Amino acid sequence: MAEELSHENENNESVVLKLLSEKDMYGYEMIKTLRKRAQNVFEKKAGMLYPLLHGLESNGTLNSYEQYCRGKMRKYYSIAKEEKQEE
Amino acid sequence: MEEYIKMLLEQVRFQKAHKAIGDELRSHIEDQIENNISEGMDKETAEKTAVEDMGDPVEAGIALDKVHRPQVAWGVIVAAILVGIVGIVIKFFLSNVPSSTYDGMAIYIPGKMILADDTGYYIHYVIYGIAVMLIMYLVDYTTVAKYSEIIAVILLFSYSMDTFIDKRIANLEANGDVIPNIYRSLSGFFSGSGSRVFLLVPLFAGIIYKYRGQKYKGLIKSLIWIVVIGLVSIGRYQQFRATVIVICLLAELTIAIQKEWIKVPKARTIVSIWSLFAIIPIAIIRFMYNSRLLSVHKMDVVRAFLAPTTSKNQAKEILSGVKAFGSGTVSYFGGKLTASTSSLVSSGVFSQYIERESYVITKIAAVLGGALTFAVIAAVVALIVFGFVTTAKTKNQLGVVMGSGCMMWLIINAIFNIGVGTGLLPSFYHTSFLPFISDHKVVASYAFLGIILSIYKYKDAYPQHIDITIYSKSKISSREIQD
Repeated sequence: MAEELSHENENNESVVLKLLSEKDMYGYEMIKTLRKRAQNVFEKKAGMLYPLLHGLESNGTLNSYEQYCRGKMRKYYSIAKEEKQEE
Repeated sequence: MEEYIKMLLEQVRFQKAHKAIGDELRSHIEDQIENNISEGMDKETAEKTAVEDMGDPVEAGIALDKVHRPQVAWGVIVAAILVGIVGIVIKFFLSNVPSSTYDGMAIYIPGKMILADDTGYYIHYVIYGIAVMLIMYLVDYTTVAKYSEIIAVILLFSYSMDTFIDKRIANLEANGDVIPNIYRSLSGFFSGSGSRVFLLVPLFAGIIYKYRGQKYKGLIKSLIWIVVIGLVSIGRYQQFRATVIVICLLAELTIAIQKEWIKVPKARTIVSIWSLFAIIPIAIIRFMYNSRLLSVHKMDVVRAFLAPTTSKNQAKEILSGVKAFGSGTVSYFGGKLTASTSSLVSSGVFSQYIERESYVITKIAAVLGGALTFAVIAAVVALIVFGFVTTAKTKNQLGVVMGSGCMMWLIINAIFNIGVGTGLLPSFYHTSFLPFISDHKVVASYAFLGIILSIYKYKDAYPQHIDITIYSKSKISSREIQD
């Protein structure tokens, strides 16, 4: 069971990183894009996207910044420069 | 929606992280509700569906709790304690070469008096300093920033009063007049406020953070604060201290402009403000020097700056005889007369309080040798650089500016102190200190490290920007929108 969860987490992580490699996005934008592509690994559990994003930010994989978009201040995530260079 | 967020946040033990997490989730759910409404749902159903899409709040909350924990910069704490131990060992060996002149510095604990030359004197300050550092870790730096203007005004008022009363008492004593008791009482009340002036460096970061979003109005207010802080910090003959503080404040303002806290043309404004603070004081001093409006002592200081090679450089003289380990030998009159470097530093010139702090590097080199001196310098500089690096790990911009200002204050003082102590800079009257090593600035040094610990503690809690205004949120929203 633990192994399945770990595998699921790794899969979700790679989906999110692939998405952010295309462009910087905020949380809801990621969910919306994944739905359009029928790749929504967070279907009925969108809340679990945020522990993943915050964890990746805490370990330096992702950076975040705030920007106004459509009338609201939104927290955008981007892949940290070191991670981009490795690719 | 709020019920979902509340249930989730109940699982996150680190309270300081709640606002940022709550805001982000609220924004997400609101976007989903808006999308659902556009697809034809009524408001109630749209919200219910949006919350269902989020999944189990407890599961998400537990996962977020694992990420959002108070962080401890163990590396900084260990490095700080190690530097303290290095300092104690150095001071122990230095205490074997006491100053020949007792300068009156001592601390009093029940039943005992510890002289400034005793190792115990320094140990007292290290223990006190580490305690202050750990207390600062428990303090939320954003709360300090929230009340930064009030605290700064109190500090500036206290020190201004202290300076004024000291000058009045000195004038009365010089004229042989009786000093009124009220002056003595006020002097006692405000004494020691000068030793807290360095706190204006981190407080200034909080002050200018509140001007975020403003343009030239924010810039002008920031510059007025720098001028006032600079002038008050001079106190009585503390021009060097005031200069260092102003440099740190300008550095903080520079970073703030670069990060667009204050929305002005970046390069042009930064060059202008540094030029202003360099040219105007130099022009004033030059005018006063040429017009002989300076005191005799201040004229000497200016001459030392203008002709450094002709100024007596006692540090260089002593260091010419330094060895790698232990006391060295200085020769005079073609080798006919020699003196050990350790005996030279225990003679009168280095025993005054100011010289003790300013020439601590000279004393270490003269008594213990060049190798240990280099090790002490390397340890102090490494700790400060470590502080800078730790500050850079936070994404919260207030933390970055405040932490950078604090470390800048330490490194500038260290550079001047090492420069004068090694004879690389000309001798002149000043009050620089070697952070963590100079007795009377040990606590201040550790206090600033404590601010770094506080900033690092909240690195996974606070986002890039936070609200530190004291009044209501509705006023903040309208301010942010208009800017």
